[in-house]
Amino acid sequence: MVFNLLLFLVFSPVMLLIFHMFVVRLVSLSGKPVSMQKLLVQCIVLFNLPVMFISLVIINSNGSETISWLIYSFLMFNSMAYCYFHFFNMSETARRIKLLVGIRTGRVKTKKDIGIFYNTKGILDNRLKRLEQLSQIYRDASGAYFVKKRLLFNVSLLVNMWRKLLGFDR
Amino acid sequence: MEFSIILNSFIIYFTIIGFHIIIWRTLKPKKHIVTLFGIFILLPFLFFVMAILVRIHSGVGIQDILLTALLYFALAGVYIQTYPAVQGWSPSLRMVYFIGTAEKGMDINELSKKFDDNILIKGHLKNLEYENFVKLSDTGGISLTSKGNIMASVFLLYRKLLGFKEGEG
Repeated sequence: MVFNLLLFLVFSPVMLLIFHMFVVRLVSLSGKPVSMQKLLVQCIVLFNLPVMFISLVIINSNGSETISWLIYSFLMFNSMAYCYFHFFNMSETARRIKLLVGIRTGRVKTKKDIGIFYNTKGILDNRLKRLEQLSQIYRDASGAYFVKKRLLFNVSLLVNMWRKLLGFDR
Repeated sequence: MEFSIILNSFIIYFTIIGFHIIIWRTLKPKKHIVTLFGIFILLPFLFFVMAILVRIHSGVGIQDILLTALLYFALAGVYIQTYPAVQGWSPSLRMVYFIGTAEKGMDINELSKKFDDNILIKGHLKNLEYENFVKLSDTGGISLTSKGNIMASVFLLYRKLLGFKEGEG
């Protein structure tokens, strides 16, 4: 049982990837603009249901042991799903990946090319658009941005605190 | 399965986090990712291998150590994946931070003043060179190392699998 469960959990991110690919292609057909990060979070939340169900079938026992196994499966799957979310997020937003891909595809050959390929204005515009899509910020009539939902703002406070703890910005 | 397996994974995880904070505050490593892998993956891996060898030598089962190790590595992956957003002070989070802490909100011009090419791009280019992903020549030319080439190809292939064009960055 233990081996089967671990095998299933270790391969669950691959199944999540396949499910994600399927959902993304399905949503793309509708032609509606959606936040791809939000869509992936929804995929992960939804995918917890089959993962927990299959885990329960594999565990196939009663009593307190079942609860421990389910907590274990939940933590394992969601930790790996979080890693997958970050991998996707890197492909979508990471500046270093954008630079590597630019060099790989021959559009960045010298330092001077970087300014044409990728600049501060583009970086800020892309991010503001994504944050608005995620309903984390909104823009009023005067053009000023405000926080709408506090999730990412609270994360930013945590990151700021963690940076201080690690000794950055000293 | 005993609940102590889950508890042990978290105890090891938070011990390593504490060790990481101490190393970062005292030694200030320059190769962040390599050092992070050493602390979060290599060190615990050696610890688990030793624990398994001791168990085998004593003729006791190793199942609980394997379960502890797997959960620990999954948790370590979470931290390693989050770390670049902390190290590079992710621009999205930084923007939300500036907007949220400004009394009367912030428009695009005010935000632009907080960011410049040195912070957003040139710093990353230096890091990529330092981590041996790119090579910079004296004449200003940029090329990928084999490590950088693999990394770029993996992401290009992944985006293709999803049916997307490359990320906007």
